[in-house]
Amino acid sequence: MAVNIGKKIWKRGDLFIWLTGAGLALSLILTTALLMGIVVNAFGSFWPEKIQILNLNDGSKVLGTQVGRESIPNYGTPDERKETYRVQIKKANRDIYNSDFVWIDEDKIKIIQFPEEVVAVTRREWGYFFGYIKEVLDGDQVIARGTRESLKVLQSLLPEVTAKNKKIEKKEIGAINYKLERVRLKLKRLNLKGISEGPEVDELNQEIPELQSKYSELEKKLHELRESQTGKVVLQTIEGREKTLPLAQVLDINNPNSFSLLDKFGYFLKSINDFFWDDPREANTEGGVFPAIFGTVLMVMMMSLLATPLGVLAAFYLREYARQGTMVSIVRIAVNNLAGVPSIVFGVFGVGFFIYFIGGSIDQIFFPEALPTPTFGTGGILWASLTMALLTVPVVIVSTEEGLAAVPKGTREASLALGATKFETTWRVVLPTVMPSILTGLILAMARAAGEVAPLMITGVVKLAPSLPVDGLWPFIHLERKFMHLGFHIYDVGFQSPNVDAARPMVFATTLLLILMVILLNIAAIYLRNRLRKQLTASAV
Amino acid sequence: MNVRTTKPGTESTKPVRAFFGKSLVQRQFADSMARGVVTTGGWIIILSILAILFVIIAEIYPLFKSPTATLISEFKAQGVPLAIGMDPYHDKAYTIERDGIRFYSLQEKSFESKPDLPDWGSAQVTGVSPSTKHFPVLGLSDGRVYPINVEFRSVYNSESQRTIKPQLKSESPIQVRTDGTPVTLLTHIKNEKGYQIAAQSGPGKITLIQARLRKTMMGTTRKTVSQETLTIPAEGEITAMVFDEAYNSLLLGTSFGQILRIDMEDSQSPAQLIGATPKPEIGVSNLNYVLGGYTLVVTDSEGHVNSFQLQKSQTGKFTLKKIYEFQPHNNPSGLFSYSLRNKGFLTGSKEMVRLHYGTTGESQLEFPSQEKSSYTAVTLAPKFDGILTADNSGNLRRWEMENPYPQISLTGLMGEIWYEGYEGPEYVWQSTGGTDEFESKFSLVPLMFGTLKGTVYAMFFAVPLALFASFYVSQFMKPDLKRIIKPVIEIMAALPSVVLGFFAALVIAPQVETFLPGIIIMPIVVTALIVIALLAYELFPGMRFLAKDGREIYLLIFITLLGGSLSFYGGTLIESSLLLGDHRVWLKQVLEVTYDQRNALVVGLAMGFAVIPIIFTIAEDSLSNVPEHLRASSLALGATPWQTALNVILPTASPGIFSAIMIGFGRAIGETMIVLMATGNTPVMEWSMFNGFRALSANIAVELPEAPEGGTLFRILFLAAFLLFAMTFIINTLAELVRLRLRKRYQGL
Repeated sequence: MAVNIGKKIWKRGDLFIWLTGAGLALSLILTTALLMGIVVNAFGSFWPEKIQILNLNDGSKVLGTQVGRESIPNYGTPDERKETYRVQIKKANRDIYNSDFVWIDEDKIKIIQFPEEVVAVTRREWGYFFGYIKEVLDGDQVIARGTRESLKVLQSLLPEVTAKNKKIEKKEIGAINYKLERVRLKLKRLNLKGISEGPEVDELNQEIPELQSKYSELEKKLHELRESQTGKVVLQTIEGREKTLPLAQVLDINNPNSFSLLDKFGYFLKSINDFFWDDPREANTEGGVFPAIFGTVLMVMMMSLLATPLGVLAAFYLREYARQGTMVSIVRIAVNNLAGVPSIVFGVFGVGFFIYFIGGSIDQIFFPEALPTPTFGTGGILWASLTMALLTVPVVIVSTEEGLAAVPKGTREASLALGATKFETTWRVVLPTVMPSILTGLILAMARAAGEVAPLMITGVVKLAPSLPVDGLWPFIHLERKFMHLGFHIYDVGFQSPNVDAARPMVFATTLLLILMVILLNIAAIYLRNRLRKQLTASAV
Repeated sequence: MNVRTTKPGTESTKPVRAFFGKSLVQRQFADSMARGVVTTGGWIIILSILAILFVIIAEIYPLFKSPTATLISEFKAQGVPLAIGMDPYHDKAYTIERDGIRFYSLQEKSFESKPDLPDWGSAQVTGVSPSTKHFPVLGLSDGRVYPINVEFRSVYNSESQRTIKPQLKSESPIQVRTDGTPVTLLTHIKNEKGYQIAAQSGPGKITLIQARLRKTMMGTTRKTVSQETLTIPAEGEITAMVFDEAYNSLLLGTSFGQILRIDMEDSQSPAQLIGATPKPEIGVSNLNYVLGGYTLVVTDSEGHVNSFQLQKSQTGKFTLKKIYEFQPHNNPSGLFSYSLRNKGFLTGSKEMVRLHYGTTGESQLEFPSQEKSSYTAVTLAPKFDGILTADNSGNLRRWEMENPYPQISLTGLMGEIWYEGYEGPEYVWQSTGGTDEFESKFSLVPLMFGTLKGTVYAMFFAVPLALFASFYVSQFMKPDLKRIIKPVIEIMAALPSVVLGFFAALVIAPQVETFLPGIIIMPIVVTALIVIALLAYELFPGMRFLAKDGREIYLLIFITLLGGSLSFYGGTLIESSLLLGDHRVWLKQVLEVTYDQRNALVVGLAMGFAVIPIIFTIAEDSLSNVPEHLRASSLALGATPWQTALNVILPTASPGIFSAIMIGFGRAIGETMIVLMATGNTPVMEWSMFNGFRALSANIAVELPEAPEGGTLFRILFLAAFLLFAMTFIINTLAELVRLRLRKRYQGL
């Protein structure tokens, strides 16, 4: 009987069918596991963690959140192996303990408590602080004592303090610095032309002290502001060490252990909001990713502006205008293959051609005053976008060509027979029909550009850009500036940062954001393509 | 529907937009304009694609240009130069002639001055130890040695034009032969701490002079000179000497072809024989080190030029290991000059000067002497961009050399090279080092190996999974499920590689490290579980609702999950019982393999993720596109779906599957972020799946931002990019051609 079954299975190939199915199952499981892993970790990093107090057997106490747990390899004597676990605790307070994390064996923990008055402070520097609030001071005067009272006072004081500092520091002082630099460059340029005197020079020379006095004025204002902000909060670690923090250093303060579900949800939303709109802090391991989002979106937009028209033109040329022959077939194969050329090769091309050749020439002709500091002769958002455009043009071409191939010949012939010229036919009949294909191509190109990192690493992405490529200072769009990118942010924070453990939540959150961006773009493309197919099958009848 | 008739040129019922023009002429004009724009746009794109290749090749080309030298100027010195030197800008030169030192202007081809040397007396120069660092030491006819310190100062005038002013810095002669007989053989070495001179002071006698410079508290330097004399019981005469900086010793060559070593730490200990020329009749004519002081160049009385490395055995015995034989001279070659920039050096006999390169063993250029005159001195320009020679009729000749990438050759990039300080020839990639004297090691082989290794491991994982999945989806899955699965896999293809790389390094790598045995046994466990499930399915027909035809995937996902967890658990059991409790220890002790956390296995898994969807999509397409009547006729003849799929569909679609694998391969070769993040990026060459590697693509990403434009490294990285481009382009073209043929075949069916 068993033999019979075996034969039957063999002949019907059930075993192999199931095995091939297992291949698919494994692919699906792995993909799901990857996505789930990222989603869980990313959202986990926004969710408020309870802060624990671990009372250890030796009488000491550790305060922090649990971030990991693993079994201890080879625990106990070789004869008597024990299955024991240890937990990773984030203690925060980097300035006091030197490191954020500690591993504690579970069998050394006596009891775990979750006291309500423990607070988590988000600081401008040194990462988080976990501990207690002792009091809030204004100058030497105590305004509030104890956790509850202090929190109430702080929550009303904080937003105001932060907003004022930010405005002066980032915007105004930055603007004046930029203007000063421009005046200096203008002077140097005149000098290069051989003009070292005259009305132009005098005018510029007058501007310098003006700007400088503005600068020192602002500096004074900032200084006064800092002086006037006498608010301080006195914090205490679990060991009882005190830390006095000026309010300007505090970004947020709360006591997660007392959170209700609603509070937690509020905190969660606020964290996500901050993540989107804040600048990065602490070597990118904390804060938000706004500059990276901005850079990614701007780069993708510039790339689209360059790649779409060129790709569509090329596709129309290949399908509609060029004489179909060997030459066009060769070109078509080459274009198809270009999509398979490693992205880093495009990056290398970008470096050799755009940056050093074109950029270097632009510098010599238009910006000799800044040399030897390169203006366009170094990586920047323009060159990165151009490189990306070249990388994604094949995607647009292939997609548009596919669409063109699907337009029935009869449609064109009908238009031509009615007396329309070729251009009119193309513009009024063919183009509207292939519009969805073009859009599909564009969206796929955008998705590819958003996710690609390697070529950007060598054509203008940096880990921390001092200013965005678009700001309120003439000429508003600074194409030569370096920029930040979500993908590179992942690489940099996850691999180059000195404190990888502390950076993990940040990396997962950024990854989720990037994946969402790319997947949404792809879903849009798939949806469009499916709709297009249906439309075409319907119209062909 | 409205039916309108329009004739060209007549107005339509609806106003035509001005854009198109109204008259026929205008419309035709617009039409031809559009044709022009589209054609130009099309060609711009096509040309820019070509430009990629062109730009990359243009950057590589200079690497492989053969070095050239052109004679720029020639003029007569006042006497016969015995040693020469020049400044970095080819402006001024000094010559050592019988009666002292002279400065010449190379640009104006004229004598400039003859500075006085203090305490010179009536001495004649009888021997010189030349120096590329402008610090020659002269041996004089009255038994003294005279170090000379030439300084070329750059002076800028008001129009910021540069002129070079040669100067002498004061040094004083030192008596080494008390009997006043001439010093003919001497050598020296100079560094920041001072200089050492060794001069032959009698038969088998050598006098060592050590001058140390010390900075005093006042900021001035004080020089202390010490002197000692050694007796060398050598056979034959001493014919050549050189200081060895690496092992602090003095090497001597004799007329019987022996090379001896004297330990400077213990200068009274007996000289040690460390090497010899092939035959005793061949005497050593010159010993010299190239930059860095590791590669010893020995020239002999038959004109051979060989390079050696001094190696210390574990017992403390020194031997010379031969590295290269360079192109020999026809006569004894006694002239030598080394580059201050790289491992290049000149050797010269009386009728020929040759430029060699110490790293690659190549002889690159040759400079024959003029008729009837023989070379007496030679020097390399400090920037390695020219040479200056002098001959016995007093002619000074200056060449300009175009040789910016001397160490690059196909053998250097692709072959094994014996680098300084290595035990033997190896493939090494090490582009930057700590010091100026560092020898860059540009072998592309370890990087190509790394690329291949990563690709192979990725394909190992991805090809079976992707093909199985595509086979199942195209042949056995219900169409409604298929509509969901295909987009899911397509989205998997869109996952940015930086995400995969990050996930591989921070999540997969530690998990693989923990569950390694489990992962390895997983395929077996899952297969076994499937067999068991199938048997159960056959034996108990009541269970069939669990896996209807075309919907087995639900059950299979469950079985795979179960199999996975079982194997992880089983893996830990195996580890604790069979593998010493820790597989890393076991690997190290039993298989002698070290386990790196970020290794080829992890890369294979992560890169598999990137490649699976590509192979899947293309393979699935070609399987689904097999004409339906083939399958229908096979089934009608009584074959089971499996037999049909295996014997009819698979052979028909096999070219498509082949091209799917090729395209996947192409993608894996060029993948950058995953290999960059999930390997240790160490350029080792081992096939072990537990080691990392460094791939071409990751190497470009890491090193290009640091590489100075136009430098050797910069161009080599372009070469690496070109290799990637060429590999993927060829693979993809092949795959594309196969696919086109397949499409034709389907049309024929």
